[in-house]
Amino acid sequence: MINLSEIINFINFQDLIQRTSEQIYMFSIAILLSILFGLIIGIVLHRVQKLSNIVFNILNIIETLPTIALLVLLLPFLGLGMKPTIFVSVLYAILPIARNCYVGLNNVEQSYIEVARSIGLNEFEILTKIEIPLALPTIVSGIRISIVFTMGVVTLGGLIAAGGLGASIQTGVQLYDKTLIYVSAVWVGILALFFDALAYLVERFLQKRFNNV
Amino acid sequence: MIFKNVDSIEIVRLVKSYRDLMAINDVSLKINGKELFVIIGPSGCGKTTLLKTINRLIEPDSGGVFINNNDIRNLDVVKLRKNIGYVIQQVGLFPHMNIKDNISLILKLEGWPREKIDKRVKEILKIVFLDEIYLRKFPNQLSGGQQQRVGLARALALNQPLLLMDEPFGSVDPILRRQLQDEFLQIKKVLGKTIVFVTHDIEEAFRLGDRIAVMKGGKIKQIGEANDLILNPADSFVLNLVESDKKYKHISNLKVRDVMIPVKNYMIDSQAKISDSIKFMLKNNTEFGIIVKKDKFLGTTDLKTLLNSNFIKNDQKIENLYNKETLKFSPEKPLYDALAEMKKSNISIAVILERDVPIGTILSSEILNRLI
Repeated sequence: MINLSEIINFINFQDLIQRTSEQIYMFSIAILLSILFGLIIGIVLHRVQKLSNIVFNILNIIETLPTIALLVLLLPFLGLGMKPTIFVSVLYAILPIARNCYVGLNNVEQSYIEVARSIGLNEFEILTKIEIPLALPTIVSGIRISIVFTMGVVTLGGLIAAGGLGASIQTGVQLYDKTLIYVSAVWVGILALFFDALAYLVERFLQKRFNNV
Repeated sequence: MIFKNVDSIEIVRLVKSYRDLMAINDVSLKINGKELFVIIGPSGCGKTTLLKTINRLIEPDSGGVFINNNDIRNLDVVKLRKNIGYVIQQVGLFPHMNIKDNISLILKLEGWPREKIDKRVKEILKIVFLDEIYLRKFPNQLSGGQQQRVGLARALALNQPLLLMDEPFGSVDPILRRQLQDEFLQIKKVLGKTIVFVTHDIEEAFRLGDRIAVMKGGKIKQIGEANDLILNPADSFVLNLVESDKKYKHISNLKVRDVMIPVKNYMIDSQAKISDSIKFMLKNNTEFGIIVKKDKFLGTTDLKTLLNSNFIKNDQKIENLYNKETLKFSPEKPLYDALAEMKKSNISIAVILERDVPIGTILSSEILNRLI
């Protein structure tokens, strides 16, 4: 039987708390940036429909590149560590958010917009008061997909000295420490599920609110 | 508000096409202030397009719209729309806002203080016959009729002088539609707004419209009051449209006898005094009388003439003061011809005689209402 003090020793020895906080730090920055850029791209493309095809094609191509390849390709430009990891995470996570934002805005029923316009809302008010609130459930589902993506990419950052739980898994692989590999990998999974569940709650709340849309 | 009142809307040589389809093909018309102007036609005739050019949801290819002689292209489009209420068939209540927020959204954006908004919302709710308990509910918790009332309330929030309505009662069942129409007629009286109303339902057009424009294929076929369309349809299209309201299908078969009303409450003996005749009319709530001498028809009189005579000084017999120029019809005369004749001579009352004895009367205003 493993007792509590052994577990605590294990966590301390392997710097798991440190690694976890690095993981969450990178994850949070990456997902916040992805949401920011994803929404901006989605909104701009919704307004300038002509651009949507080309932009989504570019994002799709980025999406097909293997993550590791991208991390390595960027080494000469961004070096090692957290910065390139966050950068690559954002590249991957933008697409689901941007696409869902774009689709969500495009799918807002035309009659709402027509009424909003006709009662004297300007274009900015239509966007913020009508379109975005109505597209919100779709946007949040996009964010949920990105959360899982990001957790994965951030973990790969361990390969390029970004720290985080990916580093713990790397250590486990190097030392052939099965326990460390299992613990770190499962812990990453739990974190991903936790953030996903959080987003799920937000999504469900929004869907309840808009269940007649 | 750009306009406090809308005294006229002039649409001048308006053209709008979509690729090779002419949605509006050189339409000119004038809508008067405070009237309820109905545009009717089959789907795809351009009626909704025409309506939307008034609040610039659609910009025409050529021609223009003038409100109170202002070319609306020269006005700020957002300001213009804040002067124009807009109600559509799909209602389009914002599903993420409760009823109060739906109604007061534009007031908030206009920066009204909270107390003023609350007061205004309550005022409008009364106008559209909605209870305050609905304020906290969401659109999907309301029935179709209630939603339509909220839609109207939202369009009235800023007390706009002009109201555009695009088949607002099109998606509710016939019984509710009738009820909403009745309510709307009352609301219209209270508000005294200029209203442009699009429909494809001729019965609705007749019930609500002060004047009706019939549209087909992007062109105006005829503009007029209900009786103009019924009595003098401009072409076979208008005729078919009018007759599609079942009640008019048999109008050509009707005789005067079928629709005349009894004369008992109108008959005044030639020997009666003027003052007694006035009393008689007031008692029966009628505005004119049929004068008879020994049951034979002599002529007609009306309340206004009698009141204007100096009967207080000189209360003479009614036989000295009556109108000989009256329309007289036989009971077998076709109703259609009778109404046409009344319209032509601009006399709204006719007396039906059988061997010189009055047996009935028709009032052109009343008869059309009864048929509608």
